Amino acid sequence: MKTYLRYLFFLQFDCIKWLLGVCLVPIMFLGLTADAAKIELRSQKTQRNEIVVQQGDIISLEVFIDVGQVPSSAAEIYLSFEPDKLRVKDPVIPFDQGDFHNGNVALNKSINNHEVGFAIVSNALPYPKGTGVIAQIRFVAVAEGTAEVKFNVKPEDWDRGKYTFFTQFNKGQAEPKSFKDVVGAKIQVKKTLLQIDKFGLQRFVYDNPGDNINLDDFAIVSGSEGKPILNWAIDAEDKFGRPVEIDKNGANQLIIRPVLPKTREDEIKVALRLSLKVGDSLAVDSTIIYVVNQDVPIIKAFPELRFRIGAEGIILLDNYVQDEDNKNAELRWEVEQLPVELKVAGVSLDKVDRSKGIVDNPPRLAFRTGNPINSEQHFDINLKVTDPDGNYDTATMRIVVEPLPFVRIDLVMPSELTLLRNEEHKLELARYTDIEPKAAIDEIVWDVLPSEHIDVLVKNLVVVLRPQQDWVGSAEKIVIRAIFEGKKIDESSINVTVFDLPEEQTRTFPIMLIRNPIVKNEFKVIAVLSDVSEMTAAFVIPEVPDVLPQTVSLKKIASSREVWFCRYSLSKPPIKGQKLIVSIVGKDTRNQNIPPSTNVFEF
Amino acid sequence: MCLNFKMNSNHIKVMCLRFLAVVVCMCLLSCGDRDFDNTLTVTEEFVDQTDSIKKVGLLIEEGDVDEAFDLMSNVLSEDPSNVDANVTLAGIYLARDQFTKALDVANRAFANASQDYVSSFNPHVNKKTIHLILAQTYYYIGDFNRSNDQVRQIINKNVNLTPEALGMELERLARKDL
Repeated sequence: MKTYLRYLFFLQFDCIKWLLGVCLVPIMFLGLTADAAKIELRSQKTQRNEIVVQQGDIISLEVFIDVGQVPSSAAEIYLSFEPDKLRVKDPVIPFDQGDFHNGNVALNKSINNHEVGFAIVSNALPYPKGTGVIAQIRFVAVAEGTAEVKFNVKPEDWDRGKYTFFTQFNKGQAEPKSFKDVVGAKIQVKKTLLQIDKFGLQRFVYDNPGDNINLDDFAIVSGSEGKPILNWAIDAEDKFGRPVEIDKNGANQLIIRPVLPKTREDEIKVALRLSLKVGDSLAVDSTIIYVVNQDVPIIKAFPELRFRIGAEGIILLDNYVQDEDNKNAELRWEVEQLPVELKVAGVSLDKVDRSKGIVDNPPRLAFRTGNPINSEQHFDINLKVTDPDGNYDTATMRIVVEPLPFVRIDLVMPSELTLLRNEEHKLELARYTDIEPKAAIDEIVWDVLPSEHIDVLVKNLVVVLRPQQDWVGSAEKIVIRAIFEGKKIDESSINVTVFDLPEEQTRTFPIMLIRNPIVKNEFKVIAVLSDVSEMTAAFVIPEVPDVLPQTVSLKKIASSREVWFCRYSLSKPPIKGQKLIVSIVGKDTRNQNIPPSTNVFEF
Repeated sequence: MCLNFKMNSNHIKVMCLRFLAVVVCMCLLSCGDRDFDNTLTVTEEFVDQTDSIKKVGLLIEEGDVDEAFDLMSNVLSEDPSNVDANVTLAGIYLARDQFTKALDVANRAFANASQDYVSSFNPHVNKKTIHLILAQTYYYIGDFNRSNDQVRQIINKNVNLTPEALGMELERLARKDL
């Protein structure tokens, strides 16, 4: 078959060549062209002769002919192009056979770097007529500019044996004919667009933390001549500008996992440079992507944990963490180094393995302290939560230990108090209460146990003692209690004596009180009475709880038979209006009690 | 005339040397009279005593008699004739029933106090206060005559009170500012 075809082709071809060799000039000059025969080079896609492509694009062209209603048994075409702008995609077998001629391809090759040739001979009847595609050819747009692909139809092309023609049957004989209309292709080659899909690339990194990045998937290359070989240059650094080694495999996959940050604060900055060599030019694009890890656990802001001394403060850590890809139970909490101040302040931390700092599961922290403090104490604890992938987050939790409203209270009321009949008396509780901190006194509730004859009222930290009308007596016990949160925390009692001021008839002998001219809190009491062997003075300052009643023995002044005196002093000079009651008892020379004498002095 | 004022150069040199010698001698003599260090010390002591006496007034007001006693004793050791110190110590001795010592320092205060004396630690303490201290002291040791003498000095009346009346008068005088 093959031999036959070759014979037939060469028979025809040789005949044609022989005939044409003889009749070349007549054919060319006598106009032996087939009427209406047309050959055209056009885009397979658009079927237009004018084609716009981009650098690197593959241009598929078809050789379209119209031989009219006369059958054609063979065709031979030669195409010329500019090799600096176009390149045959397959230089070995440039053409694909079309559907017009059903026969043998006699020629299909690159003649040189700027010409290709194709010939086909039908080997069976009926020979085709009308229109059809003889062959397809693919070019690659190499360089920017306008390129033309032309049919060889010049007379010298015949001489070179590279002439485009077809056979036409006339009277049953195939005659070589030139095409009347010959239309080549005009190709405009634009510069290649090379681009990185920056947004898509960054989104992929966000959405697929740790996954390898197939870089070529994010390269937009117009005019991709099949699968272009893209060159990626990579440079990475951490957020401090320190270089980070990042690998890329042979398939242009960026290996992210080893450099994936472990915390949300960290990020890796990756500079990518994409280049593609197209013909003699180099297309380049570059971008920067940030590799972050969205799958890290994130500690939400801790609240300030406040608890009172002696009480327990608990915080459930699960409430303060968020992790997209792990359950809370899979997270591990650690307490980093405990602050020394916390230990010093006696704050105990439960639910924590102190040696390793790991918090028990379910994670919660319990704080307790029993040490007294005078003011608020603040402690900062650093917590770390880690997921099974080793990703972690850290945060600082502030603990505030509040002092109790009081730490120490000491209520010491005057044990003895002397009041005058029908006169109320006030005691300021703040004066008799030693409390730390001072402000805590406002949180104390005061309770009193009144006596049978003395009414007691506490208002605004003042105790008001009110003897019942005209009652006079001694040693009635008043109890004052300090209560906090319903519990008694201290109490103190006062023995109250109420007496009447002595009247004039009680002064059975003179009593004088002589004040020291310099030392104003020092006095001498003078009693004038004859035939006395001993005398004792009793001193009472009513309504002044700081001065307790006391007794002092008098002595007789030398060389005097009737003047007795004693010294009486106060810790401070008395205030104006303060009263001093002096009663003197004694025995006469016959060892009989003398009638006592009492006097009231007002300063 | 011109010739009369004309002196030779030797005469001028001799005059200059004599003048210089006189100036040097005057400087040396005047320096010998001055004792700057001593003056400075005296000034410091004076300042300290004034502060101490003023402080005593506050101490007595607050009832801190022992501290006042120590301060005034120091003052008195430096200046035995200090009236303020003697008056204060007299009052303190009287308060402590040390009547002999009270009389001693009160009399010394009286001897050194001017007629219009007013203490620098208490404006109500004056020369009549010294009389009252003495009157009280004499009374407590039973010397009613001398106590009467002092009362007469205070009230400017020629009285001779019985012990009981004298006691009442002393009580009255002690209650008022003299």
